[in-house]
Amino acid sequence: MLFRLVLSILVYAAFTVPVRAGFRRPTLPNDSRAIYALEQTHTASLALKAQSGAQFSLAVGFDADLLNSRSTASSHRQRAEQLLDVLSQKLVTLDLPQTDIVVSKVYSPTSEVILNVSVNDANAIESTKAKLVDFITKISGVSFVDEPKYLRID
Amino acid sequence: MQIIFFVLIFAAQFIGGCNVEDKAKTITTPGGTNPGINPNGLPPGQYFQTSLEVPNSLNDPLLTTRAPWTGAGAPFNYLWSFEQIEVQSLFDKLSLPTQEIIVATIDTGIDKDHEDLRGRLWLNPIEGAADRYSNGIDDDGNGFVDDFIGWNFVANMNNPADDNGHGTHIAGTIGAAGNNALGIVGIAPWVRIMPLKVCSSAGACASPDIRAAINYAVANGAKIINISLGGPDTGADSLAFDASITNATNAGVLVVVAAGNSAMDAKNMSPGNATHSFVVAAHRNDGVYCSFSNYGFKLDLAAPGCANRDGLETSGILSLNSQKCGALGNIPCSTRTVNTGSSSTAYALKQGTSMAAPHAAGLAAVAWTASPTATPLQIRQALLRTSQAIEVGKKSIDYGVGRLKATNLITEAQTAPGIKITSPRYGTSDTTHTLGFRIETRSNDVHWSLRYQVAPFPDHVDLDGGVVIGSDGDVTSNTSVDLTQSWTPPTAGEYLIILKATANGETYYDTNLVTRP
Repeated sequence: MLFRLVLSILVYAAFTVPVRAGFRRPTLPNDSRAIYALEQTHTASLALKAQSGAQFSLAVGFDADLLNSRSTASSHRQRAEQLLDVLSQKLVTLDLPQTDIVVSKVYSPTSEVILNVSVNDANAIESTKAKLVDFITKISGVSFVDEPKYLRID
Repeated sequence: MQIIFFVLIFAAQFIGGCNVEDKAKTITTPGGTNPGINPNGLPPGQYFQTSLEVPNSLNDPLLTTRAPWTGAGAPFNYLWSFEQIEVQSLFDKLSLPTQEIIVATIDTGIDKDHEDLRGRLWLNPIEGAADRYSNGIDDDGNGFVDDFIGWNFVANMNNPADDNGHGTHIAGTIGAAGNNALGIVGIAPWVRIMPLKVCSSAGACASPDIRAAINYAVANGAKIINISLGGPDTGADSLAFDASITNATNAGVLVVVAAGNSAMDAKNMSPGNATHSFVVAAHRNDGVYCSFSNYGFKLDLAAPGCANRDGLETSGILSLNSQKCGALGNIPCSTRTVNTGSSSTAYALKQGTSMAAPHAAGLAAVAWTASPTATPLQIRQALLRTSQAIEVGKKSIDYGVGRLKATNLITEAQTAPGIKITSPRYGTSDTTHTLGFRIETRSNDVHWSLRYQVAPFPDHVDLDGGVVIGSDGDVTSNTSVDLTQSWTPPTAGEYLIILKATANGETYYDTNLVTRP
């Protein structure tokens, strides 16, 4: 009987005793809601686009979703062209024997600078790739890390 | 009856106990998930706070590490933004204020274990006690249980851990420890950081959480709030921000907001378009504005936010890296093992008006250190007055009144009057406007006048030009007054309202924009 009485009181209390205020986050009355974003821009991203045998492609992309500019599309193109110019001038300073590099750019769906690389020495593929990735990261701002494969510049 | 009352009390405690247990599942206490957090079993009051000082010299290695970049402005060091503001020259003229300056970062949280932030966080004086930080009780009655270093509004818990990296970067720019032979130094390395997490790991931040965080910061003693986020003006939401940021200002808090990276007029971005937001645009190391930076006369000033590296505008603001951020592989910095088990470097480059705002927030803390009794409006004017004008006496559409600079900041922090046009909201359209403005004088009288310029505006508006509105006036020393003046613009169009004040031979300005349909 006593047990049922206590149980009844507990059940009653569970529905009537207010939960301590500390466990409720204060809410604002009549509050509207919107989702805001961080005001940090991402300038580009580096990806290993493809690899087959002694050939591989690297791409630095300027993603419309990642970058805002006063004239977004033209700015992406402009940046891609700037990077293309810089790479064209500076790639020759790299010591990469028996390696052919063709640098090109595409504008759709994102503005990208693509390096199609052919390495004549099969043993030099990975070292060449590492040199290029390191070089590009320094030029364009990305950093070389193992993961994820698709990098984003912060 | 007494028995029933006792049972009810017991029942209430029992129910409360259930909640404690449920809550405890989500609470990360010092030493809870990472043994390194509290290695000596010290209570957070001893572990999380180190003593503060205004450093007389700096030995932080990245301050003097040369960046390997070419391009305009090169060569320069990685921490060029700290150098350009020229704040270090003030350090030996400042002493630690009696009351610690708390800067709230409303962001993605904080990596509280970062080597350059350890001991720098705000500690709730009540909840932070050794026997209270994890007792599951709202000891200080502020509505947040065990909020000993801040709050995570996303997960509604007391651990504002940074799962994005953005907030830790912001915190480092403001207050990374100085002269500790590690990494970088913040603009004001003697402040306490109050991390308030409102953004998810993906960077999505709900506006009610942001406003709740503003209220939290105000209620818990913050002097400055940094908000490096924003979104399009949605009407009701922006009005709500206007109210909460005005409340913060009236409570003595300066709210610094990033102008936004949408390359559009900042007046359309919330919460930067709130009346009392101190709006910061971004410029590069070579002084040119960052192409993404929002523009318009809502800007207050510009601060470092990106860099010209090898001819490319890209990330160039170095600060702290949390465990989730990408690595910065080409500079020497400490490497550590983080919770994910992968290695990460402790410092990173980022860009955005997000990165510009904390430079201003940090310098506001420096100003408040020089003048602890100053009001937010006086600190605002001190920052504006000491900025480096693009064209003297003019306000720029891309830079506000100029680039952030610490020159003469101590004097200005101690003497600049607070002047601000407080109504109507920026961009308000009406036939007749009631112009409200506030003047807070210091030891000198202030003479004020109102004028307007009509659109189209040049890129650099002459703040001494324009047409006089009504009569001018004087406010005696050590007085605060709220004044109003009714004004009907002569024709339809957009008008820039200029409030000009002179005190002791110095001139101060504030601007607002209204429209007549």
